[in-house]
Amino acid sequence: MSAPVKPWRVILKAIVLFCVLNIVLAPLYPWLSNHEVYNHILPGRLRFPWIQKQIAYSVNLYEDMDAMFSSHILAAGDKPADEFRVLFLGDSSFWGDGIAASDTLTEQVNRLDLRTCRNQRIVAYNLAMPSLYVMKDLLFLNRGVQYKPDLIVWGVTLRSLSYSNSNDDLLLPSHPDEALALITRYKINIPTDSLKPGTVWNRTLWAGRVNLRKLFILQESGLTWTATGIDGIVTTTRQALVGNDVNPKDFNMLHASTITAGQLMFDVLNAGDDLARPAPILILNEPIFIATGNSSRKYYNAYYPRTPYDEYRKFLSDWAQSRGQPYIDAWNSIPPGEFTDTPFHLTPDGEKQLASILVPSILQLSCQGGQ
Amino acid sequence: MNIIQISILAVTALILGRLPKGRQLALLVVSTFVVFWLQPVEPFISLKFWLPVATLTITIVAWALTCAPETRNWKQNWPAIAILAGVVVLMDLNRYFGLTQVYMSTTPPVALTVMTLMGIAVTALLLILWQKSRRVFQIAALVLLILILVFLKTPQLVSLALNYLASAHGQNPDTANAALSWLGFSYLAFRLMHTIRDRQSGRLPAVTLAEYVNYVIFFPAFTAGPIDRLERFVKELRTPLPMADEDWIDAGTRLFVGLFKKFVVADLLAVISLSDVVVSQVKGAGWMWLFLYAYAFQIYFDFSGYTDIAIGLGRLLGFRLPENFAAPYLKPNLTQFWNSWHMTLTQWFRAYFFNPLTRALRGGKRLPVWIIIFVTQISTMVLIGLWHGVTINYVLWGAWHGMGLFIHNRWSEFSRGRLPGWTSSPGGQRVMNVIGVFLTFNYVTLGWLFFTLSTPTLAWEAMLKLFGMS
Repeated sequence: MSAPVKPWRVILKAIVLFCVLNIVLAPLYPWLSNHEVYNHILPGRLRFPWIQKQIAYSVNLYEDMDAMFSSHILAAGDKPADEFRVLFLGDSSFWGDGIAASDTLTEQVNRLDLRTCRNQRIVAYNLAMPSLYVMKDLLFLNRGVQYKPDLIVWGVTLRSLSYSNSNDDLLLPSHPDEALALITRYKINIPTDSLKPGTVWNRTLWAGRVNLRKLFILQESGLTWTATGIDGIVTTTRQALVGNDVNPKDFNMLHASTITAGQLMFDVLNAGDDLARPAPILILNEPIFIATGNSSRKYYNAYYPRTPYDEYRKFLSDWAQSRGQPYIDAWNSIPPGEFTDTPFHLTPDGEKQLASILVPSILQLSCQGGQ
Repeated sequence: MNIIQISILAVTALILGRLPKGRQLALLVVSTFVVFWLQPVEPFISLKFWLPVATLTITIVAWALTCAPETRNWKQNWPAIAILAGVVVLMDLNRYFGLTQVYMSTTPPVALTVMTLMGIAVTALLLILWQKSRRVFQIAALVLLILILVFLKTPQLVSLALNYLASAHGQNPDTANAALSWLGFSYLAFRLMHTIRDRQSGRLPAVTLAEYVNYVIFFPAFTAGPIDRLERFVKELRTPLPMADEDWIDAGTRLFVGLFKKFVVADLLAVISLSDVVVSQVKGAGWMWLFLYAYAFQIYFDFSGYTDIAIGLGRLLGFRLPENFAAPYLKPNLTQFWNSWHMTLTQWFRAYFFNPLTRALRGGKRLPVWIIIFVTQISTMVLIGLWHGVTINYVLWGAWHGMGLFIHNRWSEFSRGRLPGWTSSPGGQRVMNVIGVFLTFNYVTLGWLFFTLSTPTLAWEAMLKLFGMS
């Protein structure tokens, strides 16, 4: 006859087992982040997982860059010898907010089936994420260089280049060690209060349970991604129809009548240039929606008053010129009708037009140097 | 319920289950509090207070209509009256306490609440005293419960009412687009109807107000069942089941299995479950089948997980709640499936609709048996469908199952003695069983198309895609 079970002993054993598993299985999470179903069983994603509402097949996992990269098609394998690899860094405009993954800027470039003068296939990869902050792009670039890029296209706008925007970012506080290392190495002038170095506790399974759950959901949503090719919400909103009259009190509006060059994070762009070397960086001042309504003499759109935005363009252009940095100012190159729900998000046609603006520079840069 | 709420309830159940005295009244306090606590925030915040009050009102009125003479005296019932009124007033007083982590602080004026309570007390008293018209009132109560159920389950009616309320309060009608969620009403209505019908047939045991309310709003089963029977419940309320060490282990295991099923398995499956969006986007029959199967298992693990949690909580309190699921997807025919899926609901419909209807049809003009079976199966299953919501899709889902049950019944009748001999050998029975499980599972799974998708057009589109015809 078996001995009767004592509840307190069961509870005690459960607690001990829980503690042991936390310690023993702690290394499991980083391993899982780097061994996903993507690029092995299922095709990699064309862009990082990101979603506003859980009605499409993705999940936000900005806390885990390893998982973001592992799910990306960039991690599918070694770089083919005949590939000229172009990494696109930027915000939601480059990521393709509101449009299908197959219609983003990088896919518009890929659709053109470009070749370099050495007959290499030009293949663009979308490493953008919906966040207006160039420092997070630097973190992606820091990882991205491991994939041997030949060219970087970096989309910026006034908001993403402003120091004042550093508090909105989600990526940096989740990767404090990596961010602090870059900040220290390149003497970047941004506040580091929110960047607390990781502890042993952070690495336990219990502390990482939410991310672990998200990681599983990311793997699962790979099925729906494969089945539909859809990884985000496709919007039908058109900025031109709703945004011509700018509301100066819009919560997104930049509240500054003028700006100085010191307010822009050129140190981050400089750091990126150094990090990417020998690959050149092509800086693109992203197109913005330009309103024509009542307030448009003073404001370009719900984000930017005219004066500070004009100043920003001049500072950026001067900076690029002084360094001989490849630079395209595409601020007014897309018609208003091609913007969707914000002054930055483009329709598939808008992305296509932007791709055609970028192509000559990409081709030119791809034929420079000895690669 | 989320994990934190369930954890709090588990600890509460653990304490209540160990109380040497006063368990019944302590349980009443907790259950009444839970009715308020778990009520979701509605488009009109005051409903978070008034819907629980309505739940208690309906329950008290139903007791007044069903109580036996020996349980009507003041001495037996004043503690329950004091507790019910006390909890309501206490929740209302949160406007002064401001404990927003526990309950909202925008409750109605206390004077209004006290007047409402007095109104409820007078109504209940009159119903108890007015014995002459009791049967009429009982029928009226049944009709009223059905009408409320129909109202709550009809999206168009709810939307109309909320729009009206919004306009009356000077709010934008768009704010009233959210669904009206009256916590636990679907189950509450069935428990009340069961007691009223059993009182009419003289089968209901004599119970006090405390026992009756405890049965109706018993917190482990209040939101998602199972639907217990009063006579069984009251026995364990009066004499809790003894708890040996093994019982604690069983209760804890059941609770953890339920949590795992609901919050791990079901929630993960939900990501890839079939939905309106998936149907319009997926290309390829194979993927459709995968997402449909994911839905079939998601709904099972979600619902059976909640049932496990309820049974585990009940066990900690010294109750053995009835089972709701018994491996339904492993059943070789649809009849057995419905005897093991949401069993307490099926038993309820069998007792209060299917059996009486069958008796009525058999008793009157002599109809062929197959017609009686067809009518009773289809109507019962359509009603079960309507219980989930008054929409065409739920009607189609019910009809799908009704038709399946009818076909199975006819097939059983037809095939008796006609099947080849090998099917009765042990090996042959196993083969037939496997075929039966496969067919039943897939029939049920196809039925989920009507259940989960919002329109018949989408369900049809999904059906075509599943068979590669679209």
